[in-house]
Amino acid sequence: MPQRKGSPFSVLFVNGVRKDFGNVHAVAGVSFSIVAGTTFGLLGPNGSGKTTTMRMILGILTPDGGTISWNGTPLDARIRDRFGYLPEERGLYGRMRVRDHITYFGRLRGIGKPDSSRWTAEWIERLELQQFADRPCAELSKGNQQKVQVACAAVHRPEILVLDEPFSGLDPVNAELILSVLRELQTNGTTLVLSSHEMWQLERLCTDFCIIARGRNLAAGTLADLRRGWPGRRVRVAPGSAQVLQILETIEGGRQIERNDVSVTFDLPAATDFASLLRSLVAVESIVAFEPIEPSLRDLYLHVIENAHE
Amino acid sequence: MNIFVTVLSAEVMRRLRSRAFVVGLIFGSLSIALITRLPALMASSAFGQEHYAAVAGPAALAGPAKALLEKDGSLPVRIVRESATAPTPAMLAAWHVGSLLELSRVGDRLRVIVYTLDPSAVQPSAVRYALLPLDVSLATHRSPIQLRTELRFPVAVRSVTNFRNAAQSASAHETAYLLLLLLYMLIVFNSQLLLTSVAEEKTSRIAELLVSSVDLTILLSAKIAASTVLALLQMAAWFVIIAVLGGGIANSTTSTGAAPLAALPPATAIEFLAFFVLGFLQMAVIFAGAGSLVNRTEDLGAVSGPLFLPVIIALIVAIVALTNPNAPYVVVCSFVPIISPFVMFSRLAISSVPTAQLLAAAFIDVACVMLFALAGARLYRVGMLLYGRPPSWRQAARTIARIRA
Repeated sequence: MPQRKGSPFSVLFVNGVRKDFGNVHAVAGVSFSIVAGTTFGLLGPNGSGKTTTMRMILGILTPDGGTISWNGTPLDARIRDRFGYLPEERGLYGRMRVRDHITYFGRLRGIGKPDSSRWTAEWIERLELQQFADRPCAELSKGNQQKVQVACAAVHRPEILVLDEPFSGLDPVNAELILSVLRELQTNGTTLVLSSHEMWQLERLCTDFCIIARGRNLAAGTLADLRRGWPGRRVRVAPGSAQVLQILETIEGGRQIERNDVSVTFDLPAATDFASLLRSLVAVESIVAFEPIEPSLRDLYLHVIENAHE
Repeated sequence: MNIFVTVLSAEVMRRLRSRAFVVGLIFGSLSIALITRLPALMASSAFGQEHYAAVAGPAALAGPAKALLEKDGSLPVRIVRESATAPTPAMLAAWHVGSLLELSRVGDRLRVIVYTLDPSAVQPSAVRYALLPLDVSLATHRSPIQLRTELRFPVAVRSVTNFRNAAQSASAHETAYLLLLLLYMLIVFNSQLLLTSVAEEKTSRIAELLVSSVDLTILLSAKIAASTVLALLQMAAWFVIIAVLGGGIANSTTSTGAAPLAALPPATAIEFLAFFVLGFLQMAVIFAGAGSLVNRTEDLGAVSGPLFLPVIIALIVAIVALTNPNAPYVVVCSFVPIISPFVMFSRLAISSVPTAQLLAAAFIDVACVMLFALAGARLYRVGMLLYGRPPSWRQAARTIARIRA
């Protein structure tokens, strides 16, 4: 895996950026900051402005308002050379060989031919593309093409790598491979900015999040920060018998989330006294599990989005 | 600069390997070879029987007519007959001729009836021209052969401008005409290739990856430079073919259309090159901008069709300009963008153009290249990221007019 020397103090600031397309307000004032070396998840429903925000960070689009800066310096072409980007709309030159393709993108980023060739070889090996290296890109499967695209985005060893839906269309094995590659980049100090609808992968990878919808910030922070905004408490009780269910359903504001042969999961108001509840349950049933559960990123995301709609 | 060279070389290599370029090069070369060799091949090939004629009529008419027709060289006479009966196709076939010219005397005038299997084999005007001395001899009782040497028909009228003689003038017309066709073919073919290349990047969804990796101005200018290099390469290949095939013809006794190209005057070659570059650059930036609006390769025709119209108009005006290079409308057209490179080249090739007009046209063309580059780059920048429904012409115009993309 290519090593990169990064500064732990480098920070990307996105401050109140706006972008309109005619009468459509694609981004209407999004703000967040990214600490160097962290992995940042940009979340939001389709059409929320994630891709437009990423394109503005990459300089592909010019913001109509707000600022984007790197270490306090407005972004320019020189700084953006240290960025890498895997867009959601991605393709390859079908007739170009895999090796040539990755090398070409390294050269486009100003890397000399020897380094570009060497780093290409490292990426081909890491992404297990050796047997396809000298074949035209068009002959590769979709998953392997996507791995080539990841290599093209990262071959120049960027300080910050922006990935828009990097897992879409990948089978579980290749998704796991990309995840491990991103983890290695993270370990080596590369700042990652990800957008994905695969919440479980983002939860495993990201340290900071920003949820946007209709071009505006809805929530931001670490997973712990987001959980602090969760209005209630979630508990899993086993067994999920009728007696247990009867008691849980009497709690005002409670809501059943899931029930199976083994257990039942309930969302309860934040003020619920768990000790008192447990005593009540033990009185009617032989309780084998009483487990408070932290809401997942998916739960937090859905909650934030639903609240925004209300 | 390094990135420009990287994109340029990658584009050239990618295009050189593309089927469209290879097919275009081969097809173009074959066409040029055909144009160059065909007249000579036709001239040297054995005539079929339809090119031979029989002459029938009184000996006093048929004998001199045979001599006059053969002197002209256009209608070799195989048989002379005295009987004047209308032939049947079977009779013509038996005589191994394609036509029979039946001659008779009506008062002091000669009358000719042509029986032919193929009307195009015997041109009435050619027969009329060839037998005119015989017709006059009937009235004047003078020798038709002697009359033929005295008659000069038709009276030769030919414009000779900055050439030493009429032969050079004719050669210049022929050269200019062929170069105009080459100019048209090169510009149309290579603009189409550029359009396809840009559209392929858009439809294969590699555009955004490219746009994030390299400055768009560098990307666009390198693509256009690559197209220009390939077009010049193609031009060189065509001229080599012309030189090889046409050179042999120029040295032979048979004149063909391509022979003058084999000995192209240096000044004309430079003018051709300059106006090719100016014309191609104007079209290239427009086509690159338009190509970025294409979301599906099926839409390429709809986009390129209207863009080719000015080039077709330019070719027509330029061909007209060969016969009347200083007509007011031709002079005006030599300053109209896109049309200008064709028309001004046409005028330069066959007449003397005032230096002020030449400089003005060159200035307008250069200014238009820059203006079109600005507009094309804006369209390209926005178009490369537009997916879904293609923008309307009005939206495209608004994009070009906008200061910031």
